[in-house]
Amino acid sequence: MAIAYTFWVNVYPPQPGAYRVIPWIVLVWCCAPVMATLFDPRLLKLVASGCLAARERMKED
Amino acid sequence: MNNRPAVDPAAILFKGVGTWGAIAVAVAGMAPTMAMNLNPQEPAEHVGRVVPLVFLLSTLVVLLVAWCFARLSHEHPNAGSAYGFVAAILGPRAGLVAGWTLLGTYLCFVIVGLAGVGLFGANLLQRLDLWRDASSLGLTMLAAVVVAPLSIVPAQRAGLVLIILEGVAVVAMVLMACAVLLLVAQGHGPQGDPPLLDLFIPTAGVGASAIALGLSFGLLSFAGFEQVATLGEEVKKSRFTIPRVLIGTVLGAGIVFTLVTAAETLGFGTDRAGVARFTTSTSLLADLSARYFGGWSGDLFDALAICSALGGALASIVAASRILFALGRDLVPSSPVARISRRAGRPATPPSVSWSRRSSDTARYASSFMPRDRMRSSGAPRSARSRSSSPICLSCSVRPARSYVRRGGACDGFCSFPRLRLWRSPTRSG
Repeated sequence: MAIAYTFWVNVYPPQPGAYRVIPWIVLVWCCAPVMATLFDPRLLKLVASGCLAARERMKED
Repeated sequence: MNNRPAVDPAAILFKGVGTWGAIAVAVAGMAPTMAMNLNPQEPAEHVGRVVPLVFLLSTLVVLLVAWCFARLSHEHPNAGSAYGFVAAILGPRAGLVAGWTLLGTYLCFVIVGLAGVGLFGANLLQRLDLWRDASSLGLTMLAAVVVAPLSIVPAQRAGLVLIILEGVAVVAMVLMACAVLLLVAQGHGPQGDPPLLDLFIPTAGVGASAIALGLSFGLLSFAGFEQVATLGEEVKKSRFTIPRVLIGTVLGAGIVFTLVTAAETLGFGTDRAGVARFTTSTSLLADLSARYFGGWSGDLFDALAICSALGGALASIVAASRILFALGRDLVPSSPVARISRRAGRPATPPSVSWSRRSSDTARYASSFMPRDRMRSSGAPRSARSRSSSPICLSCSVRPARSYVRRGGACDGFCSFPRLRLWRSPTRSG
């Protein structure tokens, strides 16, 4: 809620100067990985089976 | 994506960063001198003279954050910091979002640091009459040119640069704060009787909401201390070192911030006029030192703020490159950002690793830790796949006993090349 409220007061009404654009850049940046994983679910498998998972498995061994 | 060379998950480890390097990245990430120049004015507008109380409370809050990072760094040391932590705890999607947003944050920190150099540099040049119409944008570009070569040196040398840049600034700041407090205690301040306790007791009209608003700026001053978590695969004994560096940095910074803001508040005065001077200052340390020790010291602290901003930018580049490396290593291992400079022991972007013979070695080593289904898709040689049950020394191709590897022992009996650390490193973190 705090993030949503902060975003709302910084976007509506539009802020002066660069602050008119910056919240939108941040929004697009934050949404990019969510959209990417929705469009390409293989990314989740790559993360899940990545080096971290391999290392964890090695630790368990 | 199917025919890609495997990436050695531990290759980044073979040039260890020492404890001082880790401390340097954590401290420089906060850019404390720049923070003490620019941040206390905002909480002062809301809470008046109790700015030190705000920074004391901020220390307690940030300690909770540091404790979380410390626990996670102990359990899951990795170059991706929040990417690895969140992926391990909440799942891959949340981890990807956390890593990507943290990467964006650190890139913004780089821009802020460079812009800080431009801002303080322009102020300093104008005050010294060296360049009357100094362009802060031009100086920002110049700062980027200065930082660029520093960002491609190994982390140990970057740590040395950071220690020099930030260490001198912090020591000078603390000495100046102590001297100001001493002068105020001797009656040389704006008010004869220094009300030291009043700095920690909110005045009438300063409620919890004002303190909370001030806290947001107090918390902002600590931002960046967690960058050291990205060195989880480079620091020697990272499970031991990084948690202690995280907690120690926050404790030390909290004490310094409280001390310096106390000196700033008492130095400018705690009455209404003093608070007004405090809130309207564009460079608190420079104005305070110029007030007590002459104009030369103000110029000196502007110069130190430039060093601090430069160090902050460099530390953020170090952290961002590690997160980018961790993301690339998992998602696109064949991309340049996922490669390692073996000579320097750091992520190599642009590519500096020849994958001709080395890629087969690396694939063979990586196969020791990769699940079979992932290994098949990674392009690892068939021979490596068939021997995946036992790691192989990259230098002499001897396959030591698995129990020997589990103990984290070195292959000294077979060969003595430093590259042996490649297969040794995943087990030595603990």
